[in-house]
Amino acid sequence: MNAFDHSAAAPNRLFEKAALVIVGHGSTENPDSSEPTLAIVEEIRMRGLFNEVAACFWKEEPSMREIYAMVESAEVFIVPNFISEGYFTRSVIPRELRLSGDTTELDGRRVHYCEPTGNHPKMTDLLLSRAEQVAPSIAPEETSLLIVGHGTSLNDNSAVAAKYQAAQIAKRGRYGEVLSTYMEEPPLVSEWATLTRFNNVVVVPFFIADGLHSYEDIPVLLGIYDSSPGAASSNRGAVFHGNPYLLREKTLYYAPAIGTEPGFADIVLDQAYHQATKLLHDFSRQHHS
Amino acid sequence: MTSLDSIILNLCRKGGFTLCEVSVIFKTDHFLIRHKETENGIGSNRHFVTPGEARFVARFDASGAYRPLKGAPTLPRDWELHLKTASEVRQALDYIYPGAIGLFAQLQCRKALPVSFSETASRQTGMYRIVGTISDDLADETIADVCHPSKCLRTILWETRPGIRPKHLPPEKFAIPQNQIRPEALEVPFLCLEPCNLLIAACRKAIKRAERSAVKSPQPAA
Repeated sequence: MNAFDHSAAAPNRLFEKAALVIVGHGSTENPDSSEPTLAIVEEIRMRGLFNEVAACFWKEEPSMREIYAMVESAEVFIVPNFISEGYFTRSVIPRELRLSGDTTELDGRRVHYCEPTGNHPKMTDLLLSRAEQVAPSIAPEETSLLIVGHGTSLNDNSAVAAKYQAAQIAKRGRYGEVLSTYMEEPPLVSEWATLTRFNNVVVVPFFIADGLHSYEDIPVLLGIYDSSPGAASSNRGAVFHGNPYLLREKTLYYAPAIGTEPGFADIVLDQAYHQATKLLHDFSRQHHS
Repeated sequence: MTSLDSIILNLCRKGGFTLCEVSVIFKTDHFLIRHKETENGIGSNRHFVTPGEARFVARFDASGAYRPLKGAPTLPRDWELHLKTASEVRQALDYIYPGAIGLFAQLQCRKALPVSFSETASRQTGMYRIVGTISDDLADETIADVCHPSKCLRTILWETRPGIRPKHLPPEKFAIPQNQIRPEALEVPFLCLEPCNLLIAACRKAIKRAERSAVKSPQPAA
């Protein structure tokens, strides 16, 4: 999929009277979990493309069950802000939002279910941008880049997504080597020093939001912390300000999750545009054949 | 202007309204949202002018603790929101009390459709599937704990099972506040049309605790 021209007339006419709803995971423990999604809502509101823009979450409020009370538009575009297709995008979100397919007629409105942000080709660019930001002055051809996913049998698709992104980045030939690693399955991120050839190592978590995993779990696995600083730590983002870390005879650069990367709002819009273009194409085909 | 924005405008024309812990009034050329206990702006150190900033108001309580449940009676008091339009007021209120105006509108149009605890519990999957097996007593106990007015200000419209209201909660938990036509304010309820994921998560924890207790204290064989 190429990036969409966000000034294209036909989808924009549809969007002028439509609501855009971005669905995130959220958290009852981590106050930073929803912020990437809410920041995207505010940015897209400012662009004035949609009649309404809102967000809802699985684990915090506003919940998915309330979102239809929060928007009034007759057309609603739902974009999941998730790193991959999987249990949430295929089961939980359709169930909670009462969706029955790509387009659902619901209480007098049409609800269009778009692909998740993690499916967009630009995710590769965002990961690369994060890597370059955290270590701007090292030679990438002499650097090992690790993309970190969660990885468990409960979350197979996130492991597949991390592996896919690592392969896409490797194809670009910019970094000396690119590996996908995981918190809970091999190749383990905890073995980063033995997995990598180069002395410079950049680690980018493949998550939408920073939270327990990126603030605590991964730093412990990397050896930045000996033990978890605790969920109540008021200095949650401090780990990202300590780069570079001299560990295990290598120089380690650790990046935040990509959900706050500029350009994420464009990915959300692209997913909505993609769905709107399909709708308009199907309508045109039905009425001109 | 949407119909939800019109509701806000009309309430403000009548002198303003309260919604849980906040008050909303119109002052000459802007709308003012603040904690209703903040008299005349005393104690309002943080002044905001965009609706998006309301999410920072609602995220933490006064001690800095995270507030994932937006209906909790722990909204800090040290802030004011100065907004230009009814639409901005609705966007801000949706960060502080998500969906409150929309749910209020559904109630007024008799379109509010509560979903029972048993229906919500039985549709859960994955790690929450077990909640569908919760006993009525344990469900009532957990609901009484999580949904108590001291922990959540929402007014419950749902039943535990069809025809059966949650037990052990005070009557005011189910009562729609009477509109108080005072010169200053009407009172808009923050409705709860179905159990939230926080309650579902609490039920799962309660079941797991009960299972662990049963393992530690097995019943003697007959």
